[in-house]
Amino acid sequence: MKTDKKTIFLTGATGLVGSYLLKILLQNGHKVYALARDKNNKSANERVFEVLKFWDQDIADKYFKNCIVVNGDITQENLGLNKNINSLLKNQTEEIFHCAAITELNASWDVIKKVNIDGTDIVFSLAQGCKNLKKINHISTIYVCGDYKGIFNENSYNVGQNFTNSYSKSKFEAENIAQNFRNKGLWVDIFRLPIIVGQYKDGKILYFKNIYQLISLCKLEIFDVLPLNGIKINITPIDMAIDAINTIAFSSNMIKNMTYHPFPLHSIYIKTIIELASKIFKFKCPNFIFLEEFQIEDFSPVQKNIIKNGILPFIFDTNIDSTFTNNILKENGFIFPKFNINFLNIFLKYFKKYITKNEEKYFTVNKKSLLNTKI
Amino acid sequence: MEDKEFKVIKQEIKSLISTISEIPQEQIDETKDFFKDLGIDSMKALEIIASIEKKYKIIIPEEEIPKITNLNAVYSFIEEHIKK
Repeated sequence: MKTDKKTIFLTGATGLVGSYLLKILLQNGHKVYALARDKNNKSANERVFEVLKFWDQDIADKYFKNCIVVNGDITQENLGLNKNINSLLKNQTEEIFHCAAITELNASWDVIKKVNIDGTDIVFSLAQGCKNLKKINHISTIYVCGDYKGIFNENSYNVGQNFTNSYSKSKFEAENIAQNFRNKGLWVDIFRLPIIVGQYKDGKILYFKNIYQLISLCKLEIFDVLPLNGIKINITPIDMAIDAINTIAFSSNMIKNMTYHPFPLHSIYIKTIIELASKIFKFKCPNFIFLEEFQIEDFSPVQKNIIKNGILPFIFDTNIDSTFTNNILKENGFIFPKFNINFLNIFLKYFKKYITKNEEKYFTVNKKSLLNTKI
Repeated sequence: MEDKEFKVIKQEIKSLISTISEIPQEQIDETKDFFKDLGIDSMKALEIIASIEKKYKIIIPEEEIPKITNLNAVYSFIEEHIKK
């Protein structure tokens, strides 16, 4: 896609969404200030280069020169940046992509609030001082719908929903901050993402969370039944989600302060994914029952915790609608492909390959001692 | 239980944690906190505990779950319950 070259400030550059976005932004010739932290004895610069290299070695080699890694932290005042970097960002930034967030569903409220809510406020406050800023693209989640029963489209926000996990609540509050800054005159577009899976062509993905964790849990064969009968989820491959965001973010003549749902119109039964995974990973597929039939009392405390934190979050009665976004995308020449069994096969097989490689790499006990051991 | 036998079990547990958390065994020090030091998220921690429950055919009581925050805590719990 041909776009005007811009100077972009990106937060969360080492995360799943941020890292793929970085790849696309650099590939399209933009100059990117990428915010990241030093972590695990690696510098922010090394970490950003590593994730970029993971996605595409050629792009990393060719375009990393156009990426200025800014070592900072969205929980710190002025992002923990010194005056020089701060004024550089304020003078040069034309577009912001705010991806940084904790995505763990049940992180403690104090921790998640600091990053997802207060951090958003700090990034948006910095944006107010950017002289040449056109707009902020705020990455959110469809989980802001909470427990709402009904159709939740791009215009839906506060529909009286309650929240069963800290992540959804924090992202809902972050959208509220976005709205406050819209009222102060900033142009803020919100992109609510669904469950992200690997690339469409090969299933490649940087982190295995969410649906992948559910598959890992099923793989343990500790549940004979799961209350996921009839439950559908919205998923999209990472490359499709970012292409859709990129298409909208850099289109001309867009209406200000819109919220988008950049994912396909149709959703997929979780049962279909787990059944297919059970064949690929060769685990015993649980029986799927309705939530009303599910007796949580029958499980051990650990299993109950897993059900609460890793399985029940998948159950919601909300019908997420993305018609408006799909129409906008269509006008701009972008149509999501159909996600059929072939695609599910691709992303599950990539996961299988990864797990097998990990087991070979990390599981190094004397094999004789492992008779009857199954992981 | 023989010390030798428990040594193998300890190695198995370390290996299992390493595989699920994707952290090399040499970095999983006995006293390192799973969450603060090793960066293991709460779901991964539950996956680890559930795998241990299944493998050693034990049930970890609710009040014990928050106490299992490092490798030593896992070893102690297993040793105590397998001996029973």
